[in-house]
Formats: sequence, structure tokens, C-alpha cells
Amino acid sequence: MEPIDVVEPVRRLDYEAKVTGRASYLADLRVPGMCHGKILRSPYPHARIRKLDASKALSVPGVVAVLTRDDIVQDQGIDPYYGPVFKDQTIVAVEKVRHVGDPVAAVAALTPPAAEAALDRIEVEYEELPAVTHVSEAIRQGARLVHESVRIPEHGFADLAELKPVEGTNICTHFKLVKGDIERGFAESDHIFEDTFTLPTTQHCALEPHACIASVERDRRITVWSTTQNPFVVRTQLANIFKVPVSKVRIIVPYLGGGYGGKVYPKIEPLTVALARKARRPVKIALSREEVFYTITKHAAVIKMKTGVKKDGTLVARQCEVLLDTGAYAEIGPRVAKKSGYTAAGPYKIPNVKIDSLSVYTNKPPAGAFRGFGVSQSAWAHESQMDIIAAALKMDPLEIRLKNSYEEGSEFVTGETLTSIGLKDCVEKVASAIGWKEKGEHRPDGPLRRGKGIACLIKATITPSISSAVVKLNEDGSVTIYAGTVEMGQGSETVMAQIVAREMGIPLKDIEVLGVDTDVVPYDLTTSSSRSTFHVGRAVQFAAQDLMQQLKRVVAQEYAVPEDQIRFSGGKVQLPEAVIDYREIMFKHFGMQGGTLVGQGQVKTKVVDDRGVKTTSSFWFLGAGAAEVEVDIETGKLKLLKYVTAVDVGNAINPLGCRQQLEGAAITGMGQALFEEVVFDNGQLVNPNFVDYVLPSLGDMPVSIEPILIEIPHLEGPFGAKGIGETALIPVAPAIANAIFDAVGVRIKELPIKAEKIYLALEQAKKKL
Amino acid sequence: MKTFDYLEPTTVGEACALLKQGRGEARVFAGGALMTILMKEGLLQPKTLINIKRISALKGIDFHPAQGLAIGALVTHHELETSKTVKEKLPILCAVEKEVANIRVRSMATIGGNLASGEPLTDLPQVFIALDARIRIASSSGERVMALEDLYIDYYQTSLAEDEIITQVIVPPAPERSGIEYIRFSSSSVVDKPCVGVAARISLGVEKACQTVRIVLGCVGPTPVRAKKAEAVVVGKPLDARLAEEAGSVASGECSPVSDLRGSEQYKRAIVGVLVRRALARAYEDASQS
Ligand SMILES: Cc1cc2nc3c(=O)[nH]c(=O)nc-3n(C[C@H](O)[C@H](O)[C@H](O)COP(=O)(O)OP(=O)(O)OC[C@H]3O[C@@H](n4cnc5c(N)ncnc54)[C@H](O)[C@@H]3O)c2cc1C
Repeated sequence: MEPIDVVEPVRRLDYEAKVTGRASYLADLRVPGMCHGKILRSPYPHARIRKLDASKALSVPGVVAVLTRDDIVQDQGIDPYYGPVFKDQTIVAVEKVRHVGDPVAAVAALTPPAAEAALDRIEVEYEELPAVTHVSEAIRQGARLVHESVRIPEHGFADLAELKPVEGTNICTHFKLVKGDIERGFAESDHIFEDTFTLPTTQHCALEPHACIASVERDRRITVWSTTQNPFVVRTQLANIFKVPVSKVRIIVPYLGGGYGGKVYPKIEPLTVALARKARRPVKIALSREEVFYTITKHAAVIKMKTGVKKDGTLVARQCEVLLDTGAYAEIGPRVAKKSGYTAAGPYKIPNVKIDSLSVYTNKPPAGAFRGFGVSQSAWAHESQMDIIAAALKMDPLEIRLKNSYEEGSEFVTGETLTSIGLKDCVEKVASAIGWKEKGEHRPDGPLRRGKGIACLIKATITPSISSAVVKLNEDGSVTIYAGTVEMGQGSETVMAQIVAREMGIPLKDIEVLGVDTDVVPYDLTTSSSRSTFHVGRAVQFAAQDLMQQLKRVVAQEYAVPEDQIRFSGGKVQLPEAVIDYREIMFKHFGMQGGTLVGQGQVKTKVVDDRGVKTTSSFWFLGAGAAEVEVDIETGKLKLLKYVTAVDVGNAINPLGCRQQLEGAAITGMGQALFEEVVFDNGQLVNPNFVDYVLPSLGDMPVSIEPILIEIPHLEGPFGAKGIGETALIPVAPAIANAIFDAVGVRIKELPIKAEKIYLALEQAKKKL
Repeated sequence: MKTFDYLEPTTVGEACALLKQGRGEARVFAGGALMTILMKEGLLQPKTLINIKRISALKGIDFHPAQGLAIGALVTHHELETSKTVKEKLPILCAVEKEVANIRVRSMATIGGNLASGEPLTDLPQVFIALDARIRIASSSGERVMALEDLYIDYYQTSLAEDEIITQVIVPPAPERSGIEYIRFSSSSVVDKPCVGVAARISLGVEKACQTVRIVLGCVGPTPVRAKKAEAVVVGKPLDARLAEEAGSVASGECSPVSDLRGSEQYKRAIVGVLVRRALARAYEDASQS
């Protein structure tokens, strides 16, 4: 491996365009002949559509087309059923609506108001059905079914092949994992702890709502501009739905105004394409904030955790039941449940483990990927319970973690060996930065009490996966990068350019990272799972190396020097007797100012490698967080005073970018911990807006959020780098809950931790005295 | 959003005449912070929108030693927050304004709109009522002045007639040795709308006895309410911890909160108790020191 040199903090390449407002987003885009689409949505959480008559909508001035179930069911050119894992979604509702906001019909018109007016003229007769709106209710025997049956696609994701819906129930998938003997483990334990933890439905709240423009040509060629995080998956899905080869589908992705998992897998693309097809002109649909809440959410969860420990705090057995509310459609819920399951027992060496992780259908908007992908749910449970155990055993929460946590070479629940595990470093660093030693020294100040808490995690990245990249050397020595990573604020563009800059020794200003267009850039599975720097970055690095190999051959040939005497340094090629730059080589090679050299790189990760070794994750996310809080015991009001977050980043290619990712994730985690919750009343969303769905604001920020980068290079990452986008979010909620317990001695097991919950817990505690 | 006529009168008289012509289907549009939300959501579909922002008579802040502070209806939250006159004469208003909503809302929204909207989750009404503020109201047939306290009828309902506009808020000079405190309590983010807001004013009489007491509770009922029984607990006596506590628990019985996203009814009552106690203590201290 190359030596790791210190990198200067780099300013993001996209920053100027973004802060000056010049960066263009999908909502700014217009294509010739474009009309505007609006969606008619279900007012009920569960209902059968008895009758649907759209004839009056067509007579509204300006209306170009109306799309209803008749169009998608009768059209031979459309397979109306789709979904990333199971084909349980339809472009518009066919027989039933399954959640409030489920698309029922759509209108394309010359102006948005005309389209809206036409929606009012569509007549729908519903037969309301009882709705299941909570996972515990949904898994009961005889519960009303959200789906009577579910279509399974022929070629699904390899990692989910074994998971199927349980017929006759609302169980979408049930992932099971067993290690050792759970019953024997409990029998051998000195103490057993049983707790239930819950998390509510939340939403990603990306600044930019979903938007899409679709255009369908006569030869059935489909062009889609979309706010998607995984254009290649959307391309496959659209090709299947509209029965064309993927070569006929082109997805173009401008800058995204945030994703956080809310923009992976098809969202409004199938509907927009179907509407454009019917309208025979391009159609643009831009969702309102309210519609975003109907489109995708984060899984609410109920997690039961039973843990057996020895007197000295050694974990012996842990049984976890994770119920994830996946809403009306599977979406990517099955994978969320699987990933949540793998690490549900936490980052600890436990000989006996039993895990059941279920994704469960309910009549709520679909839940899907959300930064942390099921692990922010399970970590809320295991990290809260670690402190419950520590308190009962009168142990230091830090000590019980260090005693049990995974380290280099530990055996994971699957039996595989963990490598590149900087967990203890993270835990120790956050403890020292929060002042763990001085914990408990702060004197009460009137009604105010202070406390400190800690939490840690392990998480997997999506495996197997594929990423490819192309790097072109232009005739003037400048370089263009073609990669499928969507720049959505995470700073990927900058990192890809930095990788090429370091590999080839050229300045950033000579490197251009192309935007994503599936007709132009090579395949990449997805911009999610914190995978881009590791996978795509590596592919980009390989492509740059490929290019340099070619250059070497060219130089050897053109300058008649043996290859082993050619050295690259500082963007130049050193020959025994001369130093030449890339431009000169290109000129010499092509004999004129022209020509291109193309380098390629590919990364393909596997679940079982060539030696038969199992790999659940191509690398592991490890991190820890520590919080200091102040609680007003008369009102329950909490103030987060300080937050420290440490993440094993492998090697920080852009340290500034890494710190920003850690801080951003911590802030999102803070919202999830303290404020955020989509509130339902009989399946109706009570607060699908930013007045009543409360996000953290600047005024809520602690005096300091301290990001700490732990650098333990990963052998397979570019320059040793790992992915980091999600890690720092995950421990925030349990770290805060643990700090509250330290401050005032009450344990909150339900998110979000609003002031009233602390107040009620304090009142309860008073009564017990 | 439905289409509507849009007018920009330049005098109060003109605006009131237009309102009268509108026969209940015309609406005043000031900062638009609330109106744009209501109209976008389709909750309000006025036929005519009367933007009053070009009426210069509704702008500005004046102070007169005898009459007190006069704040034009079009003064924005941000103007109030940063006004030198206000900072000098009634600094509590600047302090309250710092916590109202967020800077975007504060820059757009007006004091007149805040008071006239009858929105339940706001801060200014309770503060102004504690200060015995009056409002000046113009209509197509003349002008009247009323105590702000009497403006409110129910959620989003005021006693303003169809053709009436609030033109000014008048805060009379406080008696010597007065102290005021406002506590805005949000149950989640600081920028969330308040869960409970309590204003307390104490003006001292002879010795250290509280002569005039105002305790005004906001966000815990259809309108801001004066907790008169709680006031009576304190009037005529010097404040001590026990009295403040008692006033707090009396006040929590004098409101009618409803359970919602920002807290349960019981929680809000409990918070009222705590805030009244704290606000009284600080107002008393403030009065004693002035
Ligand atoms: C997100 C958000 C958060 C908020 N948070 C807070 C808060 O924390 N504390 C707080 O106190 N307030 C808060 N508010 C209320 C805000 O301060 C505004 O004052 C209020 O919403 C309306 O003011 P406006 O000038 O924008 O009025 P508009 O929206 O223009 O009008 C509101 C209503 O008042 C009527 N109106 C306006 N001016 C007059 C007038 N001069 N005479 C008669 N009728 C009139 C209009 O016809 C309309 O019915 C918040 C508002 C929003 C949108």
C-alpha cells in the first residue's frame, strides 16, 4: 500500500456554485414542450377503489392527459407492478389504496394550476377498509392484510434472495440469525435484562423535494431527469416496467439538494414516465413538502431486547426482536430489516445471539432507506440497554463497553472475522473529549442537572456491489472523471477529483468530474450505504492507475525508454534524462493537438470471496458518540451542551469534508433523538409540514460539536479510506438518553425524547420514592 | 391556490373602504407569514387581497412620555427587536422578539398581523396584555381604541369587524417600580411555536407590596388569558417563594389547554405553574431593583 501523506483540507469543488445560487437543481430545469404533472392521492389509509371516472378532468382547459389505472392495466407496453425487492407497488393504485397519499391518478397540463384544478374533477368512489397502523397490531393473528398477495420478481437483489413475504400475514420479510445457543446462554447468565424500545416514523427532510422530468420518444426511448441517488437501479426498474432494454432508458441526475436515503429506488419516476407516455410530451412533476411525507419515510420500530450477563459485566447472551414498520410497500424495507438484524446485538463479542428482524406491512406511507439504514433503530435499543445493565451492575458505562466491544480479529455474529476495526479508539477518544473522568462533578444549579452519556456502533455497507469508473486524459493533460456517484451534498465530487489528483499528481483545477448521466458514465450500484468513497473512489483510483500504465507504455514506445526506468512524480514523467509532462506525451503520441487516453476501473465486492471466506460487509462502520446534557427537572426541558463524535474513517482523503459529514450526521441524529416524529391519527398524517414537524435549528445546537477522525487505513479503500456518511448519526440518540439517565436518573425508551417525556418520567420516579 | 384580486391602497381610509366593499370576501395582507400558508393550503380563499404595506401611516415606532410607546401595525418583528427606542424604553419587547419564530418570519411578519390573526401559538399578545396595551383600530366609519385584552374571542377570532384594521399598538408608560418578565417555553426545538408563554408584570406600591399584578397566559386556550385569581393571590403582599408557588398552581387551573403536538393538557398546566412562579419571581426582583 502507498504511504499515506498528509492532505491539505480542500474546499469543495461545488461550493461556489452552491453558495452563489448558480448550481442548478431539477426544479430549475425545463425541457422544450414540457407540461406539468400533478398527482391525485388517496385520502384514506386503506380503501378499495370502487369506481374511478376521470372524464370531467379532461375537459379542464389546459389539460393534456389524465393517467388512471385503466391506462396502466390495459397497456401491453407496461408492467404496472414494480418495487426494488417485491413487485408490490403500482404506478397508480389499481384495486386498493394502501396509505394516505397513495397515488390514485395523475394529470398533465400546460400549467400547474390547470393540473391541480383537473385533479378536483376526477371522481373516485372508495370503499373504506379497516387500516392497520402499528406494527404490533399488524403482526397479530387475523390482522387485516395490507397485501393479499405479493409478486416476487425473477431477478431480485442477490443479498435478499432468501427473504420472502410470509403468506397470509403482514410480515413482509423475516430475517433470522442465530449464533451459539441462546437458552444455554441465558442459563449461564447471572442477570437477565429485558427491555422494549421504540422509535417513531420520521422523514428525511432533504431541502429539495423529489422531482422528475420524463420524456418518451416515438421509438420508446425514455429520458428521465430525476432527483435520484441510484440512477442505475431506477434505470433497471423503468426498463422492466416499460418493457424496453436498459439501453433505451437514460437517467440524468443534476445536483441533489440532499438525499439521506430518501431518494434511492424509484419514487415518482414510473408515474412521471407513464404520464409523459400518455401525454406524448415531456412531463415534469415536482412534489410539495407534504407529498414528500407521503412518498417515503424512515421505519418506525419496536425493539425487544433480552440480554444475559455475568456479574462482571461480560455479555453472555442477547436476543433481539426488531419489528420495523415498512409501511404500505416493501420498498427496500427487507434490506433495512436484514441490516438492522446483523448488528442488532451491537458491536460486542457475545457468544450466544438470536436475532429476528422483521419488516412489517402497515397502512402507512412506505418506509425505506434512511441514513443509518436500520442500525439507528437497533442501536437505540442496544446502546440504551448497555447503560441499563451498567447501572444495575454498578459499572461504568465506558468500562462495560470496552470490556465487551469488538476489536481487530473478533468473530462477528455470522462467524466471520472482523478486520479494520477501530472501535475502541473511537470509544476512548469520545470519552476523553467529553471529560468522562470528571463525570458527576457538576453541582446542581437550581432546577438544572447535568449528565454525560456515551454510545457506540457497528454497521455494514451494502455487499455485494459493483462500481465502475472511467478516467480520460485529454490532449492538454487535463482529466475528466466519469463516475456514477450522485453529488448530493456529501462532497463526493471533490473526493473523486482528489483521488485522481493524488494518483496522477495533477492539480484539482485540471480535473473535471462529470455529472451523472447513465448514457455516459459507467455502472455504479448506488450512492448510498456510505459506499461511494470506498467503492467508486477505488474504481476511480484503478482507472487513474490504468491510465498511468497506458502512459507508461506510450512513453516507453515513443521515447524508447524501458518501462522500469519511467517514474511518475508531481504530474510529470521522469525519464533518466528528461522530465516531460502529460501534454507533451499526448502530443508526441498522437502527433497533433488531439486524442484521448481512457483508463478504466472496476470494483466488485462479494459475500464469499475467492478463498471461501464470508464477508457480510466489504468494510465496517465503527464509531462512538458522547453527549453532555442539562435537564431542567421542573419542566423536563433538555439542553444538549456538548457532543463529541468519533468515526473510524480509514484515512481521511478530505479531512474537512469528513468533519463536516460527522457534524452533519450528528445534527441529524440530534433531530431524530429529540424532536422528529411523523404523527399519525388513524393513518392520517398530522404534521406533514415544517411548522409542525420539528427539525433542529441553529439555536438548538450545543456550544460545540467535536468531530474526531480515527484513521486506521483499510487495505481495500482508496488510500486506505472508508465510508463515513452514516456512522456519526447512529449513536446520538442513545448517547443523549444515557446522559439524561446520568443527569436525573430516568430512563427514556421511546423516541423522540421531548421535554414532556422526561417530565413524566421524573414525576413517575418521584411517585416511586 | 385560487386566483384573487390584489390591491395596494396607500391610505388607511382607502383600505377600509375596500374592505367594506369586499363584504367579508376581502382580506388584509400584511407580512403574509400566516396568509400565504393559509392560502396555499386552501384554508382561506379570499376574493380580494388588500396589501396594506404601502400605507406609510401604519409604519414606525414613536415614544411620547405621556402616552407611552406607539408601534405602527406594519412594524415587523425584526424592527421591534432592533429598535433603539424600544431597547431604551421597553427592553422586554426586544428580548421577547429575539425568540419569536425565526429570522425569516421576523423579517416579514408584522406586529399588526401577529395581534390581529388571533393565532393561539404566539408570544406578543400575552406580553402586550401584561403591559396594559391598547390598540387603535380604523374602520370605514371612523376610529376606536380598545384594550388589547378585549380583542380576542376564540381561536383565530377577534372582535375586529370586516372593515376594520389595527393601525397601532399603544403601550402606556409603566408606573414607577415596575418589573416585567416573559417566559417562552417550547417543548422541542427553540424555533418551534411556543408550547406555553407566560408574561408577568408587577408594579410595587408602598414598601415592597405588589400593587398591580398582571399574569397573562398564552397558548393554553383559545385566547390569551389573564390569570386573575392568581393575580389576586399576590396583590397587596410582598412576593415570596410560597406566594409565587401558590400563584403558579392557581394559574394552572385558570387556563384551558388542549393536548396537541406540543404537549398534553396536563403537561401544559404543570408548565404554566412553573413558569408563573418563575416569571413572578423575576418580575418582582426586576421591580424591586428599578
Ligand atoms: C413558521 C411561523 C412561526 C411563528 N412563530 C411565532 C412565534 O414563535 N411567536 C409569535 O408570536 N408568532 C409567531 N408566528 C406568527 C408570526 O409572528 C406573524 O406575526 C403572524 O403569523 C402574522 O403576521 P403577518 O404580518 O405576516 O400577517 P399576515 O399573514 O399578512 O396576516 C395574518 C392575519 O392578520 C390579518 N391582518 C394583518 N394585519 C392586520 C391589521 N393591521 N389589521 C387587521 N388585520 C390584519 C390578516 O388579514 C390575516 O388574517 C409564527 C408564524 C409562522 C409562519
